[in-house]
Amino acid sequence: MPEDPAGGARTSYGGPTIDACAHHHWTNQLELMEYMPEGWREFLGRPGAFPGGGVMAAVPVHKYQHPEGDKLTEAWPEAGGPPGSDLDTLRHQLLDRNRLERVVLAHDAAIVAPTMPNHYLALEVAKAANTWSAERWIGRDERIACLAMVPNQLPDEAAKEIRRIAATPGFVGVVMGGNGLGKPFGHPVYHPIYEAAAECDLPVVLHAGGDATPDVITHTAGGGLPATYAEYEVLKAQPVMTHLVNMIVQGVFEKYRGFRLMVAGVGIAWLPSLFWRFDTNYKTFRREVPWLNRSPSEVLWSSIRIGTWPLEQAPGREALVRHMRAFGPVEDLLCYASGYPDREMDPAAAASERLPAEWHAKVFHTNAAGFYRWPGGSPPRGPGTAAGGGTSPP
Amino acid sequence: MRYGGPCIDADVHHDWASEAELHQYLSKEWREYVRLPGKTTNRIRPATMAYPHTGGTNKRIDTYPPNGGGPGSDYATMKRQLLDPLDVRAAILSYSIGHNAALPNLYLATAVCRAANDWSIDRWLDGRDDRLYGAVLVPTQVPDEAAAEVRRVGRHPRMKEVILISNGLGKPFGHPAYHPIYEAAADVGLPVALHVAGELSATGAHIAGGGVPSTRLENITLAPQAEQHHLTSLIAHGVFEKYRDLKILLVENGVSWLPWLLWNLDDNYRYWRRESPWVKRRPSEYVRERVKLTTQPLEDPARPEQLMEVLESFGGMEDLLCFATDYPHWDADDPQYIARKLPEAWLPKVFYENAREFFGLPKTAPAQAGGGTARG
Repeated sequence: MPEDPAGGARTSYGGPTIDACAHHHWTNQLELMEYMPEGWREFLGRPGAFPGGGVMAAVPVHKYQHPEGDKLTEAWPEAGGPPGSDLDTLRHQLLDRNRLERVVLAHDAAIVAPTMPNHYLALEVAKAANTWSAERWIGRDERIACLAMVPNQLPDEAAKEIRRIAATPGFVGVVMGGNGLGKPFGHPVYHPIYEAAAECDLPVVLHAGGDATPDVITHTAGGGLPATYAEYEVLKAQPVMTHLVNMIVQGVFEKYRGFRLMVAGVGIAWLPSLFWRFDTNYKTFRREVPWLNRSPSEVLWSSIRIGTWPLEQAPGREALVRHMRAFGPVEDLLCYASGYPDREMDPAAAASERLPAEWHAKVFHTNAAGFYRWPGGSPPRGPGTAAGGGTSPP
Repeated sequence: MRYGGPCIDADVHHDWASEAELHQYLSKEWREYVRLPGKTTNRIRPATMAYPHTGGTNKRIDTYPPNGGGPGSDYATMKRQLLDPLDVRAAILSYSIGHNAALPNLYLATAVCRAANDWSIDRWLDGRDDRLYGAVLVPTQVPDEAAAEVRRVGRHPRMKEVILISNGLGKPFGHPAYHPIYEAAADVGLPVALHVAGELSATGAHIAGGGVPSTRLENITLAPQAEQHHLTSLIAHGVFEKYRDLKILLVENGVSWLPWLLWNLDDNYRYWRRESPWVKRRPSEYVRERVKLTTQPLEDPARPEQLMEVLESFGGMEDLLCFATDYPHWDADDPQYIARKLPEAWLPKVFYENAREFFGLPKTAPAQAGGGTARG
């Protein structure tokens, strides 16, 4: 058993695990379209309706492709369809292999649907996607929970959709990624979304990758647009940082007490430098944000969580932990997320090897247990967890 | 006093007392263009996005000279406030802030850059004070003109860097379109400093990903994003491979994000092997060999040990940091403030030796100009 000089033996975690963010997707667009009204099905068309075509694409296309393929090779189901589309494959490769108590499915490439220029279609896709989740995933396996997609380009419709899906217990939160309006996500125009989410006790997961389609006027990085996947993959944390900073600054967490946010798909090591700079500048610029009466870090600890995927592969076993410990008790912030079936995914065992054993119960279970709106009103119970977990929202 | 030795200040902002002072260095045709009838002139600096600072100024109030120019425009004031009391042995003067280079009219931008360099050589680098060194301001929107400017003035003995302020083409700085600038800098033996604020002039790139923020608080918090991208891009497009002696200085974005960026870039090195013909070594190797970062604004967690833990998690940072005040900006760092936050063993390198070697300054630095007690 490897010893961790920083304290605590480093072992594979054997306890109950919640995977705070993995990805599901429809087998093909027709599967999604089953959940659309007839008029929209007719508008979109059918593959093969004429030679070489027949159907309009319902989801914008991502600009950057992984040189080795975006998804794990093995995750392509035998029966056909893309990775994340087949329940049995997901059960076997993710739920069983990682011995998950719960997995939260957050959509995949479709998170950019709300960025589509045709906002009418974007709205239909979001509604259909949620109905598809409710009928094809929720209830098929007691371990599966889903995030609802919201048509954030139309914030009032998004709020309405949140209130609609809130009636289905298997939706434990809401996912956002693509930015339909071109402002960072804290802008007041988006506030109806957070009002509805807070009202329904549904947290929002802000996922990486939303700014990487040609359809958005926002950029996937500062300073220009990346050329290569390798640049994009690292810099995709930047828009998420922008949204995080903007949501805090615009008072989302002050206006909607109880509102909770997770960021996912951006790793964790950017946290210290961003919040140190943020806290320092908050002191200088308080006059600009009079409604923010606590430091950004206070908001972070209270209401924000970080999905771990993809964990930074710092050299050796100690560097990443040392880096994160410098910021504070980050074991209270981190929620294990696999990112399955992405090529960069972190299996639970591998993630546990990189994190101190004394963090495991919180990172692999307690934090997510206290964050999402679990069915039945109570979080999954791991061993020794108090009801509500250690990081319940105020 | 924790540090009593000499320092090199890698980022000081000097300025003309008024635009009329700079007009004198423009050609006759451009002087006529900017000087309109009556009391107005055409701007020689571009419009910038509306992120006003408290009080309408982002300079320390105490740096306004008594004789009426703006902060950084008066040598005597700079000497009294910065050079003498801090025992500065060399200061790199980098304009206020040089975003003239981001003027939409690329012909005017080119002319103003030339004028600024001539003004700097004539008024500050004229030998009045051996501690003063300069930066070559270039119009990045037209890289061939920028390269020509580097070759025109870059061999002046007091010019010590090329400075890139604005992203004229909206592409990150590693893009091949910018390579003529690096070639010229390598030819004349100058490092290139990135002091990026030009996104504020809406040249095509954005300050940050994810949309344009609303407040100055957000803008300043997110500001490191552009230079993080530029560093990534310089690696991706082989600037360190093509120009084997070229060095890069990243200015004014803090330092504690470097581990995050380089751990990720090193991990993605295997993809670059397939995507770009130019990444032949691990990104962190290029950075350790060729890149320095100025300390200002140094991150300020509640306990200095926190910052050290982050820096030590990466290791070798004592070789990468160059002290800078950023005088006369409001968030200028005082040397003793920085000295208290870093290990004593690091201080001679951070305050002096790293920059001395980086800028190719002589080992024996001059005593203070005009006499006075040289400390250290």
